[in-house]
Amino acid sequence: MELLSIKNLTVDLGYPKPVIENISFSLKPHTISVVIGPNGCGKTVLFKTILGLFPYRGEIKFLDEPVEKNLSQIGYLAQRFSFDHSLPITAWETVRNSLANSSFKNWEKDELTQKVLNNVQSQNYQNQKLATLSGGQLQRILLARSLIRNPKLLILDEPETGIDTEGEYKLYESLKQMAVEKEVAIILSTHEIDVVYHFADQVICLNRELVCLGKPKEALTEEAFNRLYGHPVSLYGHHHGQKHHGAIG
Amino acid sequence: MAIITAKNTMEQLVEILAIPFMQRALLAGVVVALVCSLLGIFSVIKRMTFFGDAIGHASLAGIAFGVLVSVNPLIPAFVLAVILGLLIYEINRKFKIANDVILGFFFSFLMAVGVILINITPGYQPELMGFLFGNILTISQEALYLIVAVGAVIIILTEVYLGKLIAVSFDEVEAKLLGIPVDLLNRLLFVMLSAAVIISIKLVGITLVNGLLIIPAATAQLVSKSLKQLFILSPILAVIAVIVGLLSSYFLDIVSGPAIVVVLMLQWVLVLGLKQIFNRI
Repeated sequence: MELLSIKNLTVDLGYPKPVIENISFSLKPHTISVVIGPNGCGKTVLFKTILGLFPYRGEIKFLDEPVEKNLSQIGYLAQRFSFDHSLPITAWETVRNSLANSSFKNWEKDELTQKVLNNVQSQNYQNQKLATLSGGQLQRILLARSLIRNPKLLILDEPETGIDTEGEYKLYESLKQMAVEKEVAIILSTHEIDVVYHFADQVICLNRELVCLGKPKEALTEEAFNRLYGHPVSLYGHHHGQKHHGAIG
Repeated sequence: MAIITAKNTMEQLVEILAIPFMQRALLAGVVVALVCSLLGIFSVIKRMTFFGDAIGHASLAGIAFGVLVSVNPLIPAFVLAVILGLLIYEINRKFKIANDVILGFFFSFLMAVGVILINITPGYQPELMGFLFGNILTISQEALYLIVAVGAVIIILTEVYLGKLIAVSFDEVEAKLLGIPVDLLNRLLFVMLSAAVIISIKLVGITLVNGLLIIPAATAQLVSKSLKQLFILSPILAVIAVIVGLLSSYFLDIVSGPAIVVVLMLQWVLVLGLKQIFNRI
C-alpha cells in the first residue's frame, strides 16, 4: 500500500529550466525516506509542492486522492522558521494553536498538547517564550506542532538544523521509532549521509531530476554521487569506523 | 488641603461624566481602544505595523470626497478603507509585492488625491482639523452608534476566530495544513483593520490612529510572558490610555488625539523603564 504516490512530477517556476523535472516515487507507511542532493537541487521545492504551495505538472496522490484534499493529514517542519522574536508566544501556545481548527474541547486540546510535548521531551521548557529557546529546543517544539494532529505523512526539511550531534541522533532515533509504531510515512531532507545509511528505508537522490531511488546501500553508487554532486564524493567516517559517514552538500 | 483638592477633583469628574458629549466620547473611546488594541496585536504578529498609518492617511481621500459632495465623510472613508484593505492583500498575494511597499504607494497617492479634493472644495473646512487629529465634540449620537456597532462586530469576530487568526498571522503554511481558509481569514483581518481605523478617526484622527493600533501591543509585549497575557494586557493599557487621554484633553483643553497618543507613549516609556529597573534588581 502506498501513502503518497508521485508520478511524472515537474515543477516549473519560470526559470530557464524546471526546478524539478519528471520525477516519480512513492512512500509507504512505517518507512523513512530521505531526500539528498546538492543545495538548490529542489528538495525544499519538492516538499512545498507536495504541500500545495507551488503549481506542478504530473500527479501527486496522497491517501488515494489528490494531495490537496488531505493536507490536514500532513505534518510539516520547515527548514527555516522565522518569526518576530519580540512576540511573547510560548512553546505551549505554539503547539496548542495547531489545534485551532479542530473540534476538540479545550481540556482535550490541553491534554493532547501536554502529551505531544512530553513525547518530544520538551515539557521542561514548554512555558518559555519561543524566542528564548535554543535551536534544538525550537526544532523539537516545531516537531511537536507537526505531530499533534497525528499526521499520516510527516515532511521534515533538514530537521537537524540547530541541533547538536547527540540531539540529532536522538531525534532520528525517535523518528525511526515513530515510523515503526505508527501508520505514518516520513520523508525528510538532510546533508548528513550518516542519516541516510542509518535511518532511511529509501533514499531519493534529487538533482532537478531523479538521480537514484531505492535502498541506500543499493542506490548510493559512485555513479549516483557523481551525478548528484558533479564529482566523486569523499566521505570520512567520524564514528563506527565506516567509510560512508560524513556530511555532504 | 489635599482632601479638599481630591474632593474638588472628584466633583469635577462627576460633572464631566454628566456631560453628554463626554459620555459619548468615553464610551466610543473604550470601544475603539478595545478594537484597536486587539487588532494591533495581529498587525505586530504579521509585521504590518505601517498598515494603520497608511489606511488612515489614505482615507483622507474618502473624507475629502464626503465633504465635497456633502455626505457624512466617514461613509466614503469607510468604503475606501475596506476596498483598500482588500486591494492591498490581493496585490501582495498575486504580484508578491511587499505589503509595506504597496502601503507606501497608496498612502502617498490617496493622501494626494485627498488634498486635491480639499483644494477644489469651495470655502473653509473647519471640520477637517477634527479628522486629522480627532475631536470628541464631533462624536454625535449617530457616530456613537456606528462606532459601537462596528466595534462590537469586530470584537465578536476576533473572539470567535481568535485561534485561527493567530494561526494565519503566525504561520500561513501551518494554518493551511490545519485546513484553515487562509485567504478568507486574511481578507477578514484586513477588512477589520480598515474598519477599526475608520471608527477611530473621530477620536484620534487619521494622522494618529496608528498609535492606538500599535503602541498598546508594543507596550504589552515588553512585559507579557505569553500570547494570552498579551491579549489581556494590551486592551487594558489601551482603555486606560484613552480614558486618561480624554479626561486630560478636557481638563487641559487640548485636542483628544494627541492627548491619547501622549498617554500611550508615556505608558510605553514607564513600562520600559520599570522593566529595566526590575531586570537590574
